[in-house]
Amino acid sequence: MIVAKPKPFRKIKQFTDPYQNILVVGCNTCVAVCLTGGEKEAEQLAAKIRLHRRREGLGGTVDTVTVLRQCEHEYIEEIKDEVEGRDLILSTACSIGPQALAERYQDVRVVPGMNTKMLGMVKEHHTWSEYCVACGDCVLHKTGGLCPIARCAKELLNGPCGGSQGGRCEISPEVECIWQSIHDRLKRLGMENDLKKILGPRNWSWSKHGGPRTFHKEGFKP
Amino acid sequence: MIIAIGQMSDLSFVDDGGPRLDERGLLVFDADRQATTSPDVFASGEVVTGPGAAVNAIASGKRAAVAIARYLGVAAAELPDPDPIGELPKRLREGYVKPAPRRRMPARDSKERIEDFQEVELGFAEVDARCEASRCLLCGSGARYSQLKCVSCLTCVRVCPYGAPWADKDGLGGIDPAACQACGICYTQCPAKAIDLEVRSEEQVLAEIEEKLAGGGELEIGCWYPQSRVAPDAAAVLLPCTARVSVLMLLRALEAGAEKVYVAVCSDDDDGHFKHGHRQTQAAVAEARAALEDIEMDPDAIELVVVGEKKCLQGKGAPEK
Ligand code: SF4
Ligand code: SF4
Repeated sequence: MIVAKPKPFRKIKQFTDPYQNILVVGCNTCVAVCLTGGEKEAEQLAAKIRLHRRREGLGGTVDTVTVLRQCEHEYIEEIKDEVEGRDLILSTACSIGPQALAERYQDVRVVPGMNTKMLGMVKEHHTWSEYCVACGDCVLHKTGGLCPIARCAKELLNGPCGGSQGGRCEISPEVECIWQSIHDRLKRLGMENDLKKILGPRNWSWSKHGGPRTFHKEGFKP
Repeated sequence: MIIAIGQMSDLSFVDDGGPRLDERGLLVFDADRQATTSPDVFASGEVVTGPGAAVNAIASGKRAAVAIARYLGVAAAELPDPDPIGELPKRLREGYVKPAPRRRMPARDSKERIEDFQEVELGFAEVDARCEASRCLLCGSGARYSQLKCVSCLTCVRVCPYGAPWADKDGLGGIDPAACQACGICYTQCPAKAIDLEVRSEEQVLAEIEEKLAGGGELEIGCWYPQSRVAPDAAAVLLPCTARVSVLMLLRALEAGAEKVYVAVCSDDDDGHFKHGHRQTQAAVAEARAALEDIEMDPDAIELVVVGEKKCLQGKGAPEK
């Protein structure tokens, strides 16, 4: 799941203060699940912006609408009546949302309400951790099912480094040394000899380093 | 069993031209239309059924209201036939929900009362009456779940102190009405607004907040169990638990012109009427105050106050998970 966090309000007000007719668009998928940008949060943010504007005497209108997923054309098409006549859209989706809205609603300014943080999963309720960086060439079969690209601070493929201490990473005692965990897990599975195999060079062009990526479902012509 | 409670309906005002009575002195009645024998007289409750449970009389009153509306040509939706709520699940009976013993109704001494026909039961003092009322399990008045709006995030499953919500591997879920104790924690946390509360829904509470603040002033949002108010002069919106206070409610109260919003909790030790109710209220108030700081408003415009009195409290506390 994509995990995103609201931008600080000083940014939000910078974005919204100059406009008069604002629509806050919530997204009820990933950012709802990580409790930051779903229908509830979008309504709260709109109320907060309205209170701020009243104090500053800025007037104007701030409404909200939420779609199931802002990353789908059909869903954002559905809100065209709500968008009509607005001079600003503030999206509380991950960064795909504002882009999708900007593509569809060419004449309306669109700003992001969130900073997209990571692909992650819930550790305990209210806490999420990073598990994947969408590198494009998954190595989990070689690493006991634990990702060193996303979860090792140095993205090492032959860890741990000398900074690993008691299963913790040298960057912070809060951070698990994923290479220690990879060793422990492979040992449990009787596969520790796998670690002696040379992994060979990675093709980083399948990652972001090869430029923007597009993917076609096999068998269907683009 | 012969019910002989010594009470009956007084229908002496029904005169000859009016609706007919049967041999038991009850109104002759067509239950399908809630109709009496007079075309423009409708009836409900114990004047047609004889003594019974108050809840049945209330349901029949609602049906009569629909019948009257239709008779007058006003559109009225059919009343839903509610699914009966099951028994309180065993795990809740055995530990989760604290037993709340009954208060004894004060009564006149039997030696004294055989002498006359004065009322036998003397009535509760206010504290005891409130205490008795707080034993109500609020069955069916809690979480109302919408599968359509649910995004299967599992928040409700994780935060409910009573284990009422459930979800399967396909993300299909629901909330067991027999286990739900109506604290509202899942409502305040559901990110997709897929949960509302049957009694005191968000829409009702927001409307009440706006109505009560029409002329500005202060507002107290509180729990409806304790007796004392923290701001006796403020307008009051009382809920079964302040765990139901959402950040949106607090911000909307300020939008509606509140100069100050007190959130009155019954207990500061997380052992109030509902387990974890206080923790939830604290989180919502802290979030709303942080929002005020962000917009350079005095965060003290929203204040959490503990009502120093738990006298009549019958908790529904749950053990730590
Ligand atoms: S908290 Fe709301 S959206 Fe999440 S699973 Fe429960 S009902 Fe569904
Ligand atoms: S959190 Fe409270 S209101 Fe929601 S299902 Fe559980 S008991 Fe009911």
